[in-house]
Amino acid sequence: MNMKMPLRRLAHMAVLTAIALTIFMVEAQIPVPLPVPGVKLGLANIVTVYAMFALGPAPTLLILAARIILGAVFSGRVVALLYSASGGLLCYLAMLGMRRILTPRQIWICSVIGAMFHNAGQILAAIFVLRATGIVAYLPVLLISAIASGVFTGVCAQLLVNRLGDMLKVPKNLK
Amino acid sequence: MKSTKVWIAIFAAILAVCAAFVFLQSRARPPAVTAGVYLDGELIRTIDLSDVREPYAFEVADGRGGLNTITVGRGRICVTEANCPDGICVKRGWSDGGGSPIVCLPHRLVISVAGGGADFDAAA
Repeated sequence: MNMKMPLRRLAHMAVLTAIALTIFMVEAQIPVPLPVPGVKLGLANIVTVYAMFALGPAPTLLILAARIILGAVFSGRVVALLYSASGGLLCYLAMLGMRRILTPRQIWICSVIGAMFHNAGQILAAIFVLRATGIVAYLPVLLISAIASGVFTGVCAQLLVNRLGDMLKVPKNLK
Repeated sequence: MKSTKVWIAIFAAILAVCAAFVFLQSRARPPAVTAGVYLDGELIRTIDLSDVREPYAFEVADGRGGLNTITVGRGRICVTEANCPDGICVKRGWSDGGGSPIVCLPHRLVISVAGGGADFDAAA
């Protein structure tokens, strides 16, 4: 860990990781009405999008990695780690690309793109693990769910970024 | 804010394409489910379960006094009556391909369903 990382930033990241993990665990208890694996609200995505715009790419990657690894351990589904990691990585890369071209009022778009790439990553991992290309048939359903949940989590994250953004910035005289 | 509209249009297009795919998938014929009825290990009858319009029943005699009444419905099959002492095949109930085949040991009758059931659930 970079020793120059300001304490305030470290605390901010730790709190966000805890929030993301809590949301992730609570959401895992909510039954999904569709019998398609991979369909979910993805509320923890709110934290990822928020971190991407409020903290920047490097802290976001750390928060995301911590949530995915700890989430798999806490929920007892370590087998699902490969799916989450592959989905999370693709989602992160997509958001990284989107970050630069979006205005503060378009943050929700980043979330939708991220959600779609997340599901694409999960499908890729499933194809790799199960060695069955037929799983691609799930992609349309997953993309619809990704857009729906992505808009929701994205709007949440956008509200957070725009309202909390200034509040959490380190004041200049403390730097 | 012009580009926001462009993004919305892109998302709407993806939604429409995906919805079309899902619609086509749901209209596609379900994969054929076939039941094979074996007596003494010999295939005596094959039934295409996905093509059953009206449920019907037929009897299988093993030639030694054993009699099983088999009822066929859309995508499923079951033994509704048997004059064997234990009646395990009747208690087994409907089979749609998931799980084990229906077996009547006293009459050496086996009904196995192929192509049905939920194969993907086990993997997911």
